Amino acid sequence: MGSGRLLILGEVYELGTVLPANGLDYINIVDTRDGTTDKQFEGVKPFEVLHILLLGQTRVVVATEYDRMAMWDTYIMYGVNWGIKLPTPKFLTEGPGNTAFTVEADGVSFKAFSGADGSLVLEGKLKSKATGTPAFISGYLIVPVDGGLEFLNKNFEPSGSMKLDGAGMPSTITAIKEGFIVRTGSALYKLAF
Amino acid sequence: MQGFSDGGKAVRKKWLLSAAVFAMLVMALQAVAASEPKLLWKAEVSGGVVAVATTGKVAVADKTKVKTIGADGKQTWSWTAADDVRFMAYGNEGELYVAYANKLSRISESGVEEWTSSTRSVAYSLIVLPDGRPVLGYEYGVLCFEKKGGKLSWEHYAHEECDV
Repeated sequence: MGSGRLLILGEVYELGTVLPANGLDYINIVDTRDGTTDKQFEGVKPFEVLHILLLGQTRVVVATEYDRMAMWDTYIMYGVNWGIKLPTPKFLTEGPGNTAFTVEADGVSFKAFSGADGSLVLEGKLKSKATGTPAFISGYLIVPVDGGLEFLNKNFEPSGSMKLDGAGMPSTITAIKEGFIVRTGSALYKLAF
Repeated sequence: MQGFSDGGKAVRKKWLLSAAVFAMLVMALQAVAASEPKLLWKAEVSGGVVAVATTGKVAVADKTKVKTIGADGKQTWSWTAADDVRFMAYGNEGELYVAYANKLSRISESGVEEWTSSTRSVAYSLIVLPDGRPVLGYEYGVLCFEKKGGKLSWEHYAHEECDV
């Protein structure tokens, strides 16, 4: 979160009673020199955070329970920079053009929101149901779908798809220097552009 | 006039040639821009804990057994933890940090255990800072370790009882 700053996330439990939690309710920025608290995110309390996205160096986008999405610039102490009503998305990730990209509960409908003010930039539908969090890499939004990958270009238009032999339900995409790694339940795939 | 006319044809030919070259360049660039990624390798894995280095190296843990895969897709070394692995993360020197039970181990790029430190409780998360120090979430907050020797660098105590 900028030089020397670390975002930490936590769950709060009643003492002596470890109950299952819905999401995160402790979001702090810590100074990595000594571990002291730099900033604490209070803007969406008491709602629990179900998804979190780091947008650029300083901004955090959260999707919370009770259908709310908000952006917090981690250099401000109180409040949020913007907040909108939005049914809890299935996936939240960075999209092209500094957007927050959400895949809705049906796994197919998507929306892109401006990171600056939360306005809706665009909405559309994927060809297949997303099975994991999409990743924006090398100008493409790469979406894990049943049996492979689907690609959207910088304008959120479908730009191709790819079958991965034996992939099943790919779940995780991790960027590396020369491409990305796709993980499924039983295999890893290394791909490069 | 003849000479002038010939000159005009020559200019037109140059323009046509330039336009053709430009069109080919545009097509080539579009082909590159539209190119889909290529599969370099696939590795069958078992186990639920995976760490990926930006260099393309991968570590996979199946219970206590840690196996690493090089950027070329071939297995490099393996290491066995004293308990089931919960988290792994690569550092910027190719080293691998492995969290298991209430321990954190640093494994060198060549697979040698360099140090093991206590984490007080099981880990709930593990990352490596850009300066190479591992940071681990535990039952009551966050622990940061020195990359050499594994001494505690600092701890962040959460304001309330937290799993971080």
